[in-house]
Amino acid sequence: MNGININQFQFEYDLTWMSFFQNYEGKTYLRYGGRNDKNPESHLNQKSLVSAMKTALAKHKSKASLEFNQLNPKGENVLVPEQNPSAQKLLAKRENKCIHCHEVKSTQLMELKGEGKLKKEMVFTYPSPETFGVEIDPIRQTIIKTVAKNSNADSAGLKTGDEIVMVNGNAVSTYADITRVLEFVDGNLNVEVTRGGETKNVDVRLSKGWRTVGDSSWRESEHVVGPNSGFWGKKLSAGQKKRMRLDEDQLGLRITVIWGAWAKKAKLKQGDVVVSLDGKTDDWSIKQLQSYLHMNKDWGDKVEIEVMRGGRSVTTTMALPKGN
Amino acid sequence: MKTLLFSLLLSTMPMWCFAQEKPQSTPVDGKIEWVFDLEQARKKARDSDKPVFIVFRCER
Repeated sequence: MNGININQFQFEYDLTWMSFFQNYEGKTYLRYGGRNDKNPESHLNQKSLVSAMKTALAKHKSKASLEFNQLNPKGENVLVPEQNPSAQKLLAKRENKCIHCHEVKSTQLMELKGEGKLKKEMVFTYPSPETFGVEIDPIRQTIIKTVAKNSNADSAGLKTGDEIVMVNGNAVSTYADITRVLEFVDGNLNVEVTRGGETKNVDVRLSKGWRTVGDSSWRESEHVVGPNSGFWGKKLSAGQKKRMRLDEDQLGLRITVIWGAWAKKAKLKQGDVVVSLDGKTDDWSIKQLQSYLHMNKDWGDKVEIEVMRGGRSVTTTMALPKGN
Repeated sequence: MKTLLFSLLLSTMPMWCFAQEKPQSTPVDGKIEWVFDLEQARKKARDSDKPVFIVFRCER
């Protein structure tokens, strides 16, 4: 991302792929890309890309109005990632001097942390519509594939098969367009849909904390907002769990690397199998375990960990050091 | 044929790390000519009256 004007290209920097269709002046026709929290390629496929290309060409041909649209950039000035002091510190230690996409976001969060303004929920940028109960069709990316029962979307009256035309007054063409508009939603959400040839305006009442729904472990920049375990691990297979007499859906992570002094101080060892952390026994991946700590603990907290070692259960308390 | 023609209508520009050697404008499979310089892509778009397809790809 070196040298890229991030006021011109604002997107979910935790992604590894994103695209824009613009005119030569940099005004956006539409965005294409994005993911939900289950699948990194949830909304990336050939059919929908071809459809997005056709839509972009049609908009270009019709000279569609591109003003006052939230799909467009917000900043007037040129701002490049290297201007961020946290990015400068990161680059000073790096031989190839490259800034990855997710580091644009993580260094922004680091700056906020330094200023004492960081909140954990700031990790949840460009929320998926699934956060309020709408699953978007991966191919026809303005069609509602499903509406989760008893969700905000369900209560508001959105239906499977509805075609989303506008979100908060912005014409949307893709999943990425929808998440871009959701990025700016602060309480009020209006969705204009077509259903059976009729246009309907639906006001969705969003629950408190709607952005933070779902699994955030894919968000690389998440590590900035909270502590980590100081170890890395690998999920046990079903067979390995069975041999250890663990339930199939129970946490079972074999520690493969220990790097944190706090994990060593807690006397954790390579080869230990973590079966409980902070009383949680969910069948996490190592990234999900880290995500739990990032989002639910702070440096300075203590966490109880139960491991299996040589066929025996060992419980230890890990003190996450202050000042990180 | 329609897809091929459509591809030709788009200027494309993946981002790369500036510190590395700048890739040259390269045809891919003889169909798409990727432009690795945003300003150049925008100039081409203006001159040819085409939209620009801009791709960010990050390899970790």
